[in-house]
Amino acid sequence: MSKRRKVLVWAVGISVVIVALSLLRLPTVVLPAIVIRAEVVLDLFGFGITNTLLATWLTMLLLVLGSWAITRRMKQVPGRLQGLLEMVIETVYNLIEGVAGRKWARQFAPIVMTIFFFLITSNLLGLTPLFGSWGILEPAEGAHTQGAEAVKWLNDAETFGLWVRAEKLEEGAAHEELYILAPMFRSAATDLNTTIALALVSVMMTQYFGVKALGPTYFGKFIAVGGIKRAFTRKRVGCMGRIGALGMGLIDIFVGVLETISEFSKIISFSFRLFGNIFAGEVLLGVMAFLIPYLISIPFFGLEVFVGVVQALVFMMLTVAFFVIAVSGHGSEEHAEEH
Amino acid sequence: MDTESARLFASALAIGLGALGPGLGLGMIGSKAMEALGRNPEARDAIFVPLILGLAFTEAIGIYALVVALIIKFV
Repeated sequence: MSKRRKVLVWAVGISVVIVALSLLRLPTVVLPAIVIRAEVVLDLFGFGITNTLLATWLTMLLLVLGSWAITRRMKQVPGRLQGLLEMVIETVYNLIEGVAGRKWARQFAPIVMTIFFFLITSNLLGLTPLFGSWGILEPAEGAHTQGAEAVKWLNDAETFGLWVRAEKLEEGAAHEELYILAPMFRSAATDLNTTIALALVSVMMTQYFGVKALGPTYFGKFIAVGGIKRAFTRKRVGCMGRIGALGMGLIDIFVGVLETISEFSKIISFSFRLFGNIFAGEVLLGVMAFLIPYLISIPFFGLEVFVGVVQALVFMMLTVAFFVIAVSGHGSEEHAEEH
Repeated sequence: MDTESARLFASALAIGLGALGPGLGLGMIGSKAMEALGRNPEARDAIFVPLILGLAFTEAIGIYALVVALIIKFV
């Protein structure tokens, strides 16, 4: 009981300090620019490094260091962190095994769980306080100012700081003085490049597992000429039977074309689902925090934490489901879709 | 109507109308899942994965509308 009270006192104390600080208006925090394209914030030997790429690297670093630190001294009786990780992995693995079955789960788990852990880390990292609230002030140009709060830089020489000390400008101020804030880090999934890369990995691995399970016959799903071949080579059927089989063969070819298209549409739906959810979450949080400050955005924050976890789970489960459809042959396709 | 206000209307209509269909669909999926749970509470684990997949597919359509609205507004 006393421990809980202690936590409560700390939480209330920290909130009071935050609200007091923001009332003092020492650092003016401005709404970061809402732009769909990731902003280039660093220049590395001529390559523009975007803020989402920096966040991706940070996520990778956290995952590698975290897994190294936790698995460095593994024990038979796990400690706290090892126990937590074991619990998470076991739950997720059981979920995969429930869909893919015992045999395939062992092969699917490494790739899909990597996707899951990457996404859950990057999504939750994007919601961490102070993650996206600081950055570089860039001169605003034309349409670039749309949706952003244009600010005037108050400090002299620096263009870099933890908080932006700046002042909102009135409408119609001199154009050279307008700046917008490009955050230094931006959640990795708010860049369409990241999500398309993940979607490509998922769809490519679907083909890989399909070929691995069925061999070259896997591509018979896309180029379905088997029905037409059967119509000509089958013996002891009359003319009408042959025409009927030919018609069925043509339908098969059409279905094959549809299968091919659906394979490409997977890339689009995977990437836009993730991008849309996370990007919209960031916009929602930003807009809510600046529309009605301090307390109103807290429920939305909880919602975004939930969305981040669910989107990681959904990306993983959809990938597993597509893998399962790919590895189960033509005959047992109905069975695979039941899962 | 000038271009700027047309863009505002377009993005509002894109997400407003685009959220109608997925909203109905999500409600249907949720209600059927609850119904199934009520009839057979032991089937909780069996229902969970198809439920999540169905929700994801349906929600994706709403997300397309959202992305279109954002593109109209900010690009």
